[in-house]
Amino acid sequence: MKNNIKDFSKYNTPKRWLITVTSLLFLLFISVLVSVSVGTVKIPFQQVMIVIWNGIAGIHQNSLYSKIILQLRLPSIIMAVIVGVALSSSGASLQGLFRNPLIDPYILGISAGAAFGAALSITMGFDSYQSFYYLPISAFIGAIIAVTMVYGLSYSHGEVSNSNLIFGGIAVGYIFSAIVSFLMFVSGPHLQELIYWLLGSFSDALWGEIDLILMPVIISVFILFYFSKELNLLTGGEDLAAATGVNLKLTKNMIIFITTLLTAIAVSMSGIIGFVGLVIPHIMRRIVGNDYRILIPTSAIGGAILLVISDTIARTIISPVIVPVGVVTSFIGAPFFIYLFRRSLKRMEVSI
Amino acid sequence: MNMNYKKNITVAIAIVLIVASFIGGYFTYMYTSGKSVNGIPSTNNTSNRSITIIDDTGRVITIHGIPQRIVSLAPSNTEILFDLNLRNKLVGIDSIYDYTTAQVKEWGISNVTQVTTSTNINYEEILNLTPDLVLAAGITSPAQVYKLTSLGLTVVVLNPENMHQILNDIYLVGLVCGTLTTAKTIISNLSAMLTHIETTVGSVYTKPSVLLTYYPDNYSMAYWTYGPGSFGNRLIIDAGGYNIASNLSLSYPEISVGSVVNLNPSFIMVGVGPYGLNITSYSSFNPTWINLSAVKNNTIYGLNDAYISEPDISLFYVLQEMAYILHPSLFNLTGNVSGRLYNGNTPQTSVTIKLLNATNTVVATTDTNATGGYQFTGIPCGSYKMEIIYNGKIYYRNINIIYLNMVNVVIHL
Repeated sequence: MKNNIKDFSKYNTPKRWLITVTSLLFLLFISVLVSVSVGTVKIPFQQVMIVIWNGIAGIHQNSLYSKIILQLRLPSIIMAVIVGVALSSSGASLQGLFRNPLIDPYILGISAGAAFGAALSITMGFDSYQSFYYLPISAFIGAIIAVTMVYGLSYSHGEVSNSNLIFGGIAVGYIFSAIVSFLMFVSGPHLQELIYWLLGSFSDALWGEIDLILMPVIISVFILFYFSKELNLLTGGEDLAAATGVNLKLTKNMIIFITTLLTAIAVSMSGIIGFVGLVIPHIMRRIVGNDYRILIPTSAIGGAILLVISDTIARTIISPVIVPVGVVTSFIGAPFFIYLFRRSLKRMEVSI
Repeated sequence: MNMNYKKNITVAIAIVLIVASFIGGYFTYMYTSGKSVNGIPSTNNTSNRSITIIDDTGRVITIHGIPQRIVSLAPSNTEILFDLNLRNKLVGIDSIYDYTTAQVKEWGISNVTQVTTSTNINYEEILNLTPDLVLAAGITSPAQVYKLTSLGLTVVVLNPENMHQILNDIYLVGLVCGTLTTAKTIISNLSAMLTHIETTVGSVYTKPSVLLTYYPDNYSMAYWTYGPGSFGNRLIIDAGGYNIASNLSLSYPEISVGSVVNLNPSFIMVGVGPYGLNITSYSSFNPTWINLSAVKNNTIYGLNDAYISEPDISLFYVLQEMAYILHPSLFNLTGNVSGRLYNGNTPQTSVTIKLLNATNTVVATTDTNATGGYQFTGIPCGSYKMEIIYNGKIYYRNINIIYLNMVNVVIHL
């Protein structure tokens, strides 16, 4: 608690907030620029800039470079940014809500539910080659069904307790995972497609999909940010928060609703990408402290940076082979997290 | 309380905003995805031809000019391109294709770029190759086909489900790539073969039972096989056999060693070859192997596993081989057998080898040459016994002579 209070006072000035968020945004901008400039095909940086500038200016381009940058690299990178923002801001908010460091956005069975929806869509062959949209829609619906089940199971005596939610999430998650395993077993020729989806990927991202999810994600993240004051008060426990005038029921329902929406969007668009939602909030906590007013925006941007870097490495490390992005995420994120963790242990600043 | 009331209203407005933005995004999505994407005009040729085709998935595609740079995303597509003499136009290939160094040299594909890793497509590599035709297959997911199309590429999906559809696909590729004459010749030959096999085995009432396996699973003591709805099942039916896995519920199930013993198939056909398997890989872990009647009757056959797993022309040769194995008496076909005779490590010269048929009549006789080699040619296909008299002792060796195949039997006395 002592540390938390110290952290609050350290970062709660608007100036501090602005500097931290702006510098992270700048870092994100740099990583996007690097990411868009590298790939299997070597494109001179100047050409990259020209293509992007012409693209912004709306000049029609039909060169190979413009196709690679505008139709291939940019949609994947922007999808990585959106998914990173969605997953890590959800992770941060849920960790605050549950006051538990081991919570990730998938705790309420979202990943298993989405995997169930996707597996069903793939094995049943809902999508034809002429119209492709049932896969993301059924993954989204699967995620929502899973969370609804968890919420329903946890509801007792007019309230939903945290531990019930977590147990419900684990139970429902296992049920859906079992169904997914069964569907994988019977999927036959569709197995590869299903595994490919489960590993998570940004390379199939389309501009149309980004159009569809961009605004809902932005608004949802703003709503989470809007609840950061309540999350701050919740760090002292639910009773204390209620005593200071926090509407517990509303806060809990809204955060669960919004994080479910965000995570379901992320998962339905790019498959199951682990680690980001769990560890980015922790990394940010160790850098900016425990104040959710700064933790939520920095986690969001941090998640985006990690996924953009991971996607870049996945595309280039053993080019032309594309490594699944989920593998890279854990590979570069975990050592950084261990470093921060050890450093804070040395400084005796253990706090979650 | 007043504060919470305000908050409630804000939250309600936010939810309305989210829903509204979803709806807005949905219409943008529908608008952009509804736009038809035509193939990029080929800059590599002067042909003004423009044709509209429907591929195996029902997609309507307009193709301008004759494709000069082709990317193949599946081994079966590559095979069809080779058969249609289009290897010079092949610029990109999948990584699933089972190349050996010899094949790469023989087919002249060392300059062809690999554009996939397992099922992951490297779109940048494909764009960089500036293909005017991308041949996708059933292993390409709808999401990937959609992405390829969004990049302005001309994508044709070949996804045949039976032997006749393979012929249709050969026609389609021939039509698109301007090699229709070659395609028609191949199709008429293959369909003549198909009709011949179908009419010949169609009159058979007793269908011999077959286990067709392409991979042994020595951990769970089972064999991967072809169930209902799979190409392998279709092959066995077309060849006039009964698939012992045809009443299982999965398309690509595993069948346990115990079930194989119970069902006791008359014929066992195993995938051997490019993927590094031989008949021993299927028998070594199975203690009940020697009890199978197929083992006792020596009716175990190795089929090229690259052939049985890819829906292209090679499947017709597998069908022919299989139909002959199952019904040798119906086909008046001949095959050859050759090999070497050893005693220990010494090749034995001038030893007489007699070939006996099922009724123990001598069909052919030959003497081994200076290096112990022997050869029988033009022998009607079927089961035979070789009789070798060496130092006053009589040795027997069972062999099967298969149509089109040169059976190689090395004999160690």
